[in-house]
Amino acid sequence: MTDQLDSPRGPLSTAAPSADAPGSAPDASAAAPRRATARRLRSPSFVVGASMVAVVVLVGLVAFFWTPYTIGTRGTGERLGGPSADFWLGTDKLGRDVLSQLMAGATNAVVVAVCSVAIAAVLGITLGVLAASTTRWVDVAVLNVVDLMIAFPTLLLAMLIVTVRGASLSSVIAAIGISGAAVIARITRINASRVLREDYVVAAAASGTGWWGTVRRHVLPNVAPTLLVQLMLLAGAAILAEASLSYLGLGPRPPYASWGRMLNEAQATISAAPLAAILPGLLIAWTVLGLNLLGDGIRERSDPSLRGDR
Amino acid sequence: MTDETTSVPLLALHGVSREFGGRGRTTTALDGVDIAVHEGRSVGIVGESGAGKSTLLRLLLGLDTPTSGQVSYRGQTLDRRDRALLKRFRREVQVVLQDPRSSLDPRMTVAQIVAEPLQSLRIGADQRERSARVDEVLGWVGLDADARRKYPAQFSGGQRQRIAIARALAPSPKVLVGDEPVSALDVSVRQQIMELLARLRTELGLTLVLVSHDVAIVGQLCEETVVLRGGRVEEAGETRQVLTRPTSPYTRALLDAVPTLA
Amino acid sequence: MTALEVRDLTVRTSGGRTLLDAVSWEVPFGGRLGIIGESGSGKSLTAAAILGLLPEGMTATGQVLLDGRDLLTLGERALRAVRGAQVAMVFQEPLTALDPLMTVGRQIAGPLRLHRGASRTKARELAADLCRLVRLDDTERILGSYPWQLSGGQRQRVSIAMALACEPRVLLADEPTTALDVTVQAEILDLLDELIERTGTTLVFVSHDLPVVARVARDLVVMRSGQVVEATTVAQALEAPAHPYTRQLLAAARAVSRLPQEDPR
Repeated sequence: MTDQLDSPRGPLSTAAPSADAPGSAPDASAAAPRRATARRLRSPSFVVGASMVAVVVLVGLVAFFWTPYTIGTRGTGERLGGPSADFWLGTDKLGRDVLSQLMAGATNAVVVAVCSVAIAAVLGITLGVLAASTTRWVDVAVLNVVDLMIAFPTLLLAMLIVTVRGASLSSVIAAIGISGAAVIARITRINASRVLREDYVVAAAASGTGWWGTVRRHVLPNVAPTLLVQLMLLAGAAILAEASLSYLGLGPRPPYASWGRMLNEAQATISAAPLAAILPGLLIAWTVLGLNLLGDGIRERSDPSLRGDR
Repeated sequence: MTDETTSVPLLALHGVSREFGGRGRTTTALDGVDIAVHEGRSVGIVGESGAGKSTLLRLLLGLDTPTSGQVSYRGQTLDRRDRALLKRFRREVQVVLQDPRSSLDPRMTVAQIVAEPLQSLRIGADQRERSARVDEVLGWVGLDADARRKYPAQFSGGQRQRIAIARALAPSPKVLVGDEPVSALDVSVRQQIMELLARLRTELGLTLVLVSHDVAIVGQLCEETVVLRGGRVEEAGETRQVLTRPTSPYTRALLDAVPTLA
Repeated sequence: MTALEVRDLTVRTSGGRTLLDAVSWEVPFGGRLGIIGESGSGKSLTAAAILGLLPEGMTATGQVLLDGRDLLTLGERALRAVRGAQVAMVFQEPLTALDPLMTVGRQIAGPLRLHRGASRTKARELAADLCRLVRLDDTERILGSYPWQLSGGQRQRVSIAMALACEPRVLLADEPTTALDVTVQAEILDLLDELIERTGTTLVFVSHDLPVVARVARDLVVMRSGQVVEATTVAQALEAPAHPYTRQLLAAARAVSRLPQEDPR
């Protein structure tokens, strides 16, 4: 029941305890996080991850407006040509410029990541918050639905949707978004439950704060840091999922570009035109790695317990 | 003494019982509890663990409904569906909780924390009025204005309790319910907060309802004492009477067990 | 004859922060030392340092002399032989100090089998004796129970039984009654009192609660911010404390624990 600052992790710079005057004897472990935040801004994961992701986003943005060659179904160059002055990274089996396709693939990746994460976030957070904060029945219902969704492989779901709506960008985004929503819902529910058990929520209730006020003011801001990290990781998973689906032919059809489909198209001719096969794979890995590092970096920056004693 | 029989209690429990669980296995947290809080007469509720203090606290704050009996506010039964009544109730009855670490939202500034009751209860015409009120109550608890921009982690346990008290005072309540308000604090800070509560009680005409295992704080701050044991009222009456000449042997044993300094 | 002496004990974190600063005190055989301090004073850290139970990254310098041997120079293996057998500890929260997956009987028997090499049956017998020693008379039921099946007071008695199992020279108690109800606290303090008298074990009692320390200890060390502020006796401290901090602590403790007095009518 005593203020367990005395435990081994307790700092010592407190002044005489009696001087409980404003400004004196602050929780010295709190002063540490303030300084540590400044230090931690240099979290290498964060910096590296952010840079990697920024590159992809930039390229995707540029490609949305312009690529060296228009993305189409017919290529203008020779087939399977190596790098040349006209085609910096060579051409694929249909004579299309590899560089342009890679750039357009970046746009595609960004769109997939943003849209599917948005769907997962909105759907997942809503379900998670409802499960944690309303009645037990809602909680049980949501849990069962979520468990079902998690058990159902994204791939199968995508196939189902594609069968109904045809292979397209929106089908893929829908499938990934729904699968992601299940994971986000679970995580949101656990974290929201934890927040709802805190004393400040009881105090808020006694102050007249209603359900929505509690969710808006206390639950969401306190689960946001953890969720942000998960959403970054989800974005990486989304890109990987889209690449897999496109590789299998379930993704957007040409003229939409997709790194996954490029892999499929180039694999048969890998010895003749290696770049067309290797580069898409490399870019997928780069993007996913960048997002994972970014996620780790964000977690390092916001989680006080991961900060070592420096 | 005549006040008690004629005036309507600000807050009261009438034959309140609260059971938990179902399907054959119920636990009775409270059984037939009667408590009346009259304006100007602070009440202390003493109990050990398992006595039902937390359940009682939630009922007193209108955060839970009794299985039988009623909780009344100014003579009217508190019904959680009666929003208007609840709103009036919440303006007049506020709470300070035990743990200074978890009773303040770590992501909000002190100003936001203290202003929350004002916003939720729609007190104050505009932002400026509410802001002025925040400064006023911070001053009452001995914190200066530049505390408003800081976060709870930047304060010590005692200071955080002051912030919690300021938050409770913001809507100008008549009753301040305290759940072990000083148990988690160091002894010198404990003394300061007890003195603060005593001062607020006099200067603001607050009626305190203190729920605690600590007999001394109840003895010093409350005119009436209720001893809770196993969900029932073991003994109740004037504090001086209950704590110096208790009728119940349980109360006697409780008092004897408290270690004192020569 | 000094049972335990701490000399210039200094504990630093890996980042260079000093948590304990040249702490020195000693307690004679059969003595009862109380260590009092508020949060952040370093009192629990001192107890942990004595038994070599400091968390990762902290280093301790100075000396901890038990019967002439410096415990700080001992390796982990040698320390394990000391813990439980020569210096035993009772913690604040018995629910976390006891293994939730092991019956109480096995836990009490643990130190007996480890340090005294007792056989399983013999250890069980001794454990039953120990239960009776700590006034847990329903020994069969208690020994067969898991910690969560017992009350707080019973768990603390079990912790004390475990601590005294191998008849240690020194018993370190770190806030052993803080988490207990006041009536249970009184029983446990009475029990400790009686056992210490009977076995002649040296007691070091750490607490933030001055009335409790005053009840149980004879000598007193007052700590603040990792330093020893005053080393005196309980009687002296209550009557005429030397250091202003001690005076302040005493005044505050008196103020918050004051009970109403009867009307002299």
